[in-house]
Amino acid sequence: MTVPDAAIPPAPSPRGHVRADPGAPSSAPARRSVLDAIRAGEHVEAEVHRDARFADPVLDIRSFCLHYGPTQALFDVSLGAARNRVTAIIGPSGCGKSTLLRSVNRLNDLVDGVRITGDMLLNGSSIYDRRTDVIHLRKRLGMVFQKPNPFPMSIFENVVYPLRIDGERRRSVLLGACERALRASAIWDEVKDRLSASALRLSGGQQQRLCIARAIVADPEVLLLDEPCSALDPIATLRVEELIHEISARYTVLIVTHNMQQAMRVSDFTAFMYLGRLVEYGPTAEIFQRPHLPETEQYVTGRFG
Amino acid sequence: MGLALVLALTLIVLLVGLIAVRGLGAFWPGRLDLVTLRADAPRDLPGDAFFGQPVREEAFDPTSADEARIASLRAAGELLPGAVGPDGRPRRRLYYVANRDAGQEPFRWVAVMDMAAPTLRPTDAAWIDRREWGPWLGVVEALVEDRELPAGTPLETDAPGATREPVTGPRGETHVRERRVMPLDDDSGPGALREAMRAAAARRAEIRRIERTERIPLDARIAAWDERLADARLRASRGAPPRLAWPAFAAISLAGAAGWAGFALFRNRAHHAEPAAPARTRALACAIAGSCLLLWAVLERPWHAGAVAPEDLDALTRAHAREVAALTDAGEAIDLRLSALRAADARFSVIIREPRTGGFAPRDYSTRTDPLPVSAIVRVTHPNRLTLLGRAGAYLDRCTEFLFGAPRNANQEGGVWGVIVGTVTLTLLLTVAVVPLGVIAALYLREYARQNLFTSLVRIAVNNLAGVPSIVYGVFGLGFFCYTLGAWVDSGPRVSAPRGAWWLMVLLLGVVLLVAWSLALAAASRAEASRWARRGALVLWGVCAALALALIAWNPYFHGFFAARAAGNQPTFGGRGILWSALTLALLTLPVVIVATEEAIAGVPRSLRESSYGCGASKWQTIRRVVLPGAMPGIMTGAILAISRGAGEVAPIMFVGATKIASKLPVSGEFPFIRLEAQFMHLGFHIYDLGFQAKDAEAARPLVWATTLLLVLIVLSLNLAAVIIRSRLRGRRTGAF
Ligand SMILES: Nc1ncnc2c1ncn2[C@@H]1O[C@H](COP(=O)(O)OP(=O)(O)O)[C@@H](O)[C@H]1O
Ligand SMILES: [Mg+2]
Repeated sequence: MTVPDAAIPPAPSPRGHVRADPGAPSSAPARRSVLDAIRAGEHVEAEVHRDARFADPVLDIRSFCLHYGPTQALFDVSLGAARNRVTAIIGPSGCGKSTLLRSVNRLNDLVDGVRITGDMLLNGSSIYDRRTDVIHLRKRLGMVFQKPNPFPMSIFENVVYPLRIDGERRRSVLLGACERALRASAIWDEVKDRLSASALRLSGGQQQRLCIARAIVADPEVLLLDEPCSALDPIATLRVEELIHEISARYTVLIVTHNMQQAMRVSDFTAFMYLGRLVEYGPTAEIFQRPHLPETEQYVTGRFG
Repeated sequence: MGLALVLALTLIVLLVGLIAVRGLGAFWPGRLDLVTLRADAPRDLPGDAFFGQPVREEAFDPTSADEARIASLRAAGELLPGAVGPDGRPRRRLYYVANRDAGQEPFRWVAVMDMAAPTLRPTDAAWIDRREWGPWLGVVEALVEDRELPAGTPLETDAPGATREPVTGPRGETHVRERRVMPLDDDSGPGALREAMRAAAARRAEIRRIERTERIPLDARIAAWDERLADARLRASRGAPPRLAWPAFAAISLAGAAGWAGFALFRNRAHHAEPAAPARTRALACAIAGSCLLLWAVLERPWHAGAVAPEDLDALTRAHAREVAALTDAGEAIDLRLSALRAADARFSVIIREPRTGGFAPRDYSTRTDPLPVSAIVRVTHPNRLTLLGRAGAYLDRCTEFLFGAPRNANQEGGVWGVIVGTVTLTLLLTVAVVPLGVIAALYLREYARQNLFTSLVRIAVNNLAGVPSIVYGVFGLGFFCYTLGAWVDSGPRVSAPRGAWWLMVLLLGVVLLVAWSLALAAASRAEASRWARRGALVLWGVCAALALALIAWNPYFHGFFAARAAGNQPTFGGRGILWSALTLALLTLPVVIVATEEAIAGVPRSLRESSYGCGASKWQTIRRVVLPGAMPGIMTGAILAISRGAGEVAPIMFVGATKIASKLPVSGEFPFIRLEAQFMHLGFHIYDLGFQAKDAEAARPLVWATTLLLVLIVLSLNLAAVIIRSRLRGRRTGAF
């Protein structure tokens, strides 16, 4: 059970702080690596670029910590996602990217033994407040998972699922919303003749775009994409990337990806995480071309991880 | 491995094949032999010739006397070909000789060497199916028509084949009876007989119609008046104040609803996972509760359930006498019409010669007076005369009678329509009971309950339930459903709580409810205290449920729905019946459904649930729209397997409701459409009854095979349906259609 508890402060590392120096040249030999410090379990202040400190973020993650039972998966993560921008989260696998994303719509509530501290704000309203209605919260967010997972229903029913569970029954409304979402996710032309066919008969790439349509049909405030392309072939990946680019005009997108090129291509901001900690966060161009930390540079150029 | 598989398959094919061959062959009209015995043959019955249907032939070990006879016959050159087999052993044949009321065993072994001549197949040998006493084998010789003439009629007549004699009726009146005997020879005969049989069938249908539409409803009205009077008498003698059962039940229902609402609220809060129930759901819950109350009120009629004043009782007694007298008169008029029809039936009969005695199949063998009435004949076949097509026609005719007819001759002949209907009704009731219960239980176990010691215990218990011998369920069903629950429904609690104590208990229930509710609210609103408050609340909910149950069970204001009949030793639900049988079988098959459903639910991938939650669905919405549809193939398979097991189960229902002969079907065309309290016939029990309890197990054997085939077909087709449904739904799920 997730019980937010502001009374417990994020446990400071007993071994003191390591402050990364933003101005230091990227290869100062005397400096201890930030990643080593993280590995040693020390507290490391995240390097957040000035351009990535937003006054009014759509999603504002504040000192967020998460424990799966005895093991801690997220350490004091603070990060804001800008409106109508794509924010990418990168990092080696197991660093807590999915956990962070799932925490945004409180899917981790379903896992036994999860404890969290800190909070997140969605358009100014707390996500982890006790008075927050989780169902309502999830309706304000859309999520797409790594593996395409359409429900065993028709294409149409899949897309309008979020509206159906909201109690919408008017066929015309459903049809309109379905078409809009399918067009927005660039799959309308492929499926418009067989809306009543089973969604399971679509190809993987089509299924994933269908899932995106399902995620945006109810006009979410933030769209959460967890490695949406990792199960797709290059052509399908390309289509989904184009799609992300298009919908970012209207939606705020938080995307987890393993693929540096992809992050570079689709995102406006990039956050680099390591072992449950946010390491560096800034505009994508800066993160990939002139990161403040040498470790980030090593990671994005593929020299480690 | 391979060998075991082949062995198992062979066994299955053998089993089904044997049943199919025997079952399908049961109605094929076999030929009739005329067997003539040698004068010197040892015989167990008088007479030297009989008709018989050959069943089988075999070699037997001769005694020394047999060997001597064979030798002497051979010496005299009179040994029939085939009397001794190629291995030198004498042969004998088993004949089905029927004619049970003539005092003989229906099966008879005859050694071939005892026959005077090779058997003949006379074309006039007839197989006569009768309504009672089983078939008769003989030759239909003549149609007899009797007429009653007034007393003064002269006794001489010149009509061909007619004789007249004076007779004395049952009330001492005399008249003249004219009996005309019309020989049925090959060209004119069958037509006249067929005509007479058709007329008899029409009369029979008319009699049945009158009985069904007039006589039985009339009897029911008389019974209803009797019951009303008995009920009033009972209530007058009890001298109870107006029953408070209604408000009491209402209070309990409201308390239950409040408790449930509180519990639901508590769960919502505690889990942060359910939205407040939408208005629609709440309205639905209210509607259900309301209609339950309404139904109960209509059944119980609390407004005239009070004590009966003596003058009311007198008025009712007078009305009862008046009405019953009128109804009885009407009944007598109907009976007159019926007896006229029956008298017409009695006028036509047939003379059937039997080769053994040369006599005829009488209406009553003990007196051997009158010939067999036409109305007692179901059908006459001449198997030796039939072409292949005619034989097939006779076969179909018999099959149709078997499937759609009523049983005759203590179930040993005729049809099994009532049995099929009973089985199907039982199976439907069982389905209605077991599927929702099992699915809900499995959903609770898998989706709602915390996985802890308690749920493991429940699982172990459920799995063990599957291993309990089915007869134990029968005993339990009889003891609990029929004699405890049924008796409670019939005549209220056997021992009811004193009224004061009962109201105290109501008060206690209220208090406990309040405490439980506030604990639950506390658990929901204060995180630190939640654990103990939640446990306390849970325990108290349990106490509430137990208290409510006790309040209902010992309600001193409830005197049963059918008290008058029960007091007259005529239990309604307090005896064996189809409802209790269905519930017993539901209990028996519950584990199958629960286990299958749990597995199916567990098989729905976690990712599907998460994406449903991610769309903002509540737990129930996720279950209903994603989990249940995904688990449907597994659930269906489990349900059908359970149902097919329940459909074939015999042992429990022998205790709880199956009967040898049920005069009424468990379903009817009138309002409740189903008679839940009725005893019923069942295929499985029918087989047992025919095979082991029949007067004449050997003669009933073809019917046993046919009935077995039917049961196997039903169960197999249920299983087949399970397989098909599973594969179709699977196909849809994976998209690999
Ligand atoms: N349900 C869970 N229970 C326990 N530990 C988990 C669970 N899910 C993830 N973890 C752990 O949390 C860490 C972060 O996982 P995740 O967020 O999936 O990483 P990734 O960045 O690859 O998406 C990993 O060490 C993983 O083992
Ligand atoms: Mg991941």
